Amino acid sequence: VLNPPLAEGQVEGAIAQGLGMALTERFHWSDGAPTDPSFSSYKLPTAGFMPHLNIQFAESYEPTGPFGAKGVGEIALDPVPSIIASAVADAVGVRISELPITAEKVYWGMRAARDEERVE
Amino acid sequence: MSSKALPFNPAQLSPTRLLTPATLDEAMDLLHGAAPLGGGVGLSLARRAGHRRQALVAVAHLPRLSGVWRIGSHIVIGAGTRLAELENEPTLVQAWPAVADAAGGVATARIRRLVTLGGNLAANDETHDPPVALAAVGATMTIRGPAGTRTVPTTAVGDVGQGDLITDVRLPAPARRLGSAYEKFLVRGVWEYACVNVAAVAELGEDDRLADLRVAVGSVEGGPVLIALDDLQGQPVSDGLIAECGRRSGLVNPRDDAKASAVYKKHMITEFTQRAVRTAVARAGAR
Repeated sequence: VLNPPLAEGQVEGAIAQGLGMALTERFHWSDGAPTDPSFSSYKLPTAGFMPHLNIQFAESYEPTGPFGAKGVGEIALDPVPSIIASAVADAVGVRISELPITAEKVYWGMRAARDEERVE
Repeated sequence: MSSKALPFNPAQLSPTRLLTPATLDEAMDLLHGAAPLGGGVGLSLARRAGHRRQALVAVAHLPRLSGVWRIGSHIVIGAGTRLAELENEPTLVQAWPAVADAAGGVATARIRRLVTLGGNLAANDETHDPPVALAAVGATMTIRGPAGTRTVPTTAVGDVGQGDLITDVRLPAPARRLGSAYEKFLVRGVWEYACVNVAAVAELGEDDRLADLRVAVGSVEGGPVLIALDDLQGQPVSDGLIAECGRRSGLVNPRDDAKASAVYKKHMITEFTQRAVRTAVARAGAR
């Protein structure tokens, strides 16, 4: 890792973005314009929302990069929503397939699962 | 970016005059053509939305307008008291924990150090936290205006008009076996207006039956809404009774918004009402 503090910062930022995408950030349109054009209703993760993060790197050699180097950017964002969706499915047996994964979607999913159980 | 992108053009606005009276009498005279300034949080949000005031009268610093004291059997909170001073205030935490918790549940610590109780009430915003707890408690407020001083329930905040100033909020002394609780459900979990907020006050008789039960629900149309529970007085506390409280609370009208659908909110109002009532009853029994 060429610049550990910078690389860690990139990954922390990407995880924060991933958590927002996975859990809190909802974008609604009406007539071609956003209905929530302010951060008071469009919810980004804040310092109070973020869990403690422990970032570790696995060294590798990237043949297409200069001297084997590989950029660190938003790549750490990608797995976050699917990890959380899997964690929710593991915890309550409901898989949410649309982002963000809100308490409301989990609630309706659990209700539907319970109703199906009753029918069976 | 040109200033046309803003809802107002700062260059075209005359500056707001800030008036700083030394006494309440002086403030009342100045309020004839101006708005009161408590912590300034609501006014800042309004200004960002393009609503500017010509003149503001700072009131939070005035003598006798902040602090918590007793008059007779009442606990009196000065309207200029900051919410941060209420969340851990010993008298309040002991007597009316629902009010202390509601004050402590607002936004962030930085905002609570600015917001005054009077300003939070006067905003007449159905999503605010303290008005919900005060409604369940049965609190009153003292309003000074051009025509004199009057005392009204805090739920009558719509009566506060031009030239009026809320000077204090009064809570009754709690009965011996009385408990209160405040529940705020957030969809993000930190720093936001409530998805659902509920306050409950329960008093138990010596026979452990309900002597009094009051529930107020916020973040709904016309909120805070007091739920009709009078016919449940005198009954023993049971799971069925608590479920009935939740069912009745769920009949209020929340709004669809970015936080959740109205239908989901009704389910959560039912759930959080039950939690608030359980906690209030447990606290009443522990006294």
